[in-house]
Amino acid sequence: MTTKTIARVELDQVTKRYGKTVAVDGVSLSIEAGITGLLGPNGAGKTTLLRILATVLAPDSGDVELLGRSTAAADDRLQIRRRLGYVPQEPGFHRQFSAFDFVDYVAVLKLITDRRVRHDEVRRVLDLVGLTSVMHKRIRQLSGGMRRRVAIAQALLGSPELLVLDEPTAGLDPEQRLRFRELLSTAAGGATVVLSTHQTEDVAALCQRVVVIHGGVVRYDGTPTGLAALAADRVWLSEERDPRAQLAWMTGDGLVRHVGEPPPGARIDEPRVEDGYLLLVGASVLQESS
Amino acid sequence: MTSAHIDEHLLIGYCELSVTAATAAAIEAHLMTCADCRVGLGAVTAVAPESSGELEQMWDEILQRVDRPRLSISERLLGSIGVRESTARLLATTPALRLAWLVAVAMVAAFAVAADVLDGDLPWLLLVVAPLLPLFGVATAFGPALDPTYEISVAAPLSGLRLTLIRTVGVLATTMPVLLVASIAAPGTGWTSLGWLLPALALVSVTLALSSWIAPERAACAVGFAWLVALVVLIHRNAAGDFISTSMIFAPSGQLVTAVVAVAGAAVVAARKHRFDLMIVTGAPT
Repeated sequence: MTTKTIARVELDQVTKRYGKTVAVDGVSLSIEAGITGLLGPNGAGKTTLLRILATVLAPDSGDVELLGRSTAAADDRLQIRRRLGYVPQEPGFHRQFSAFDFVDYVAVLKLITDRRVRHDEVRRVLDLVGLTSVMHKRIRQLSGGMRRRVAIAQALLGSPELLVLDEPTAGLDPEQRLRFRELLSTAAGGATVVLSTHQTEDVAALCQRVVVIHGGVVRYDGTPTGLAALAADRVWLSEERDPRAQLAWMTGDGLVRHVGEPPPGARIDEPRVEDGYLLLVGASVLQESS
Repeated sequence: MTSAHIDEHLLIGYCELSVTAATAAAIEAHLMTCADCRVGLGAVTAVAPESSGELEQMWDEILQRVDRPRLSISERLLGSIGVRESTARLLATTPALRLAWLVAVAMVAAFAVAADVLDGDLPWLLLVVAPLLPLFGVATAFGPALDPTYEISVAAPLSGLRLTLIRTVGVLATTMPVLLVASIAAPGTGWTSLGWLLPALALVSVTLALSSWIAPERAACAVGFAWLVALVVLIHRNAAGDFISTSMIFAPSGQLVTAVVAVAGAAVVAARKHRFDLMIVTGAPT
């Protein structure tokens, strides 16, 4: 039995600009095997950071080392890509392809040229994502959730040691999201998985580690429990909306849940990951949604 | 075989395919109704690795044949002329290999030739238009705007330049024959009607070179526009003579210049080959 090297991601002062906009601003991270979630509002720099991790974008400055190799060197980049799986934010598909054809096409891009080996691998990954029964259907006939699974299947080709997934649960219904969690926790194996999401529940359920990025800067790096703990004693419930709260919203049971500095005697509630996240980036999230 | 269950030796014979067809049929009929014998068959298969290996191989063969994806027409055609199956799969996504593209090219070339025949004895419209056709074929063959799998392709270990060149060759291999046929039908003497060939290669080469900086469709538009402007300027400056001499590009000296430009473009592509392994961002950053 061969032992795989421990997958790692090392970012050192990574910066990426688009014109005058700084998308990623001096980010330094070290990520070990396991599932790491990237949380952040739209425009926070998550996709740019994930593209850098997927080696498709080069940073303007800073060093990126993936699986023990630098992404700056072309030959090393090629070696990294042999051990990398990537699902972009909006994966596209050729209209004429079936699910099998599409994954087979990506397998050719991943240099699996022997047809029999390739087809076996394509069947394996489609089976992993539960699409065996529809694998010869054209992709345009599949539901949004199934298309997402096709995109995930191509990323699993060759059992990569590093999986980079940009909002893999976007567009999935609650049941599909649960299935995705199950799939990722089994399919990822001992790999390093970095995924971005807007769903704090996904982070709490899936990730051993969470990184909150906002304005291109890392605002939090730790466990989901630690992120929730940031809001300890800063979440309270009341009948009426309290204007002093940083954020407040009506819950299903008719009470208003507040995040911020509680007034004396407030009914303190158990903090959740989303509370900690909202405390970190809350003001800008509200501005975006208004 | 007992009246109740199948004898173990018979099951082994069945697995090793050494029993007669009639016995095999009887065994299969019994197995359909007897769970105990099915378990027994499983146990026999487990202790007969050679036969189970054979069965596995047979099953694999069946799977490979039944589950084989249906190849597109273009993939089958490419396979029939000796193109490797994996390369054909990469080419199959090239828009210029579709019938619609070929029909469009044929129609444009036919209109140009028809206009030239009606106009006189020089294929000027074909010479102007023909270099643009492979150029736009190449522009649609790869790039962030027109290839839906662009980002996944860039993240894959296959060299970006190799993928680009495979598709470029695909475009040229389908477009050039149509244009060559048009040249034969066009008016003009000697090699005159083939004067578009070197400019076409030069425009494609420069587009590929520019694609290492900007998106290929933008590069193609810029190069195509520059081609038309260059022709207009040259014809305006050299008022005397026919189209070939005033445009200069289709005269022998101009052809030499286009050949040099084609080589220079190829040199830039070679020098910047690793840039094709990185994404060209055209949308807003997130």
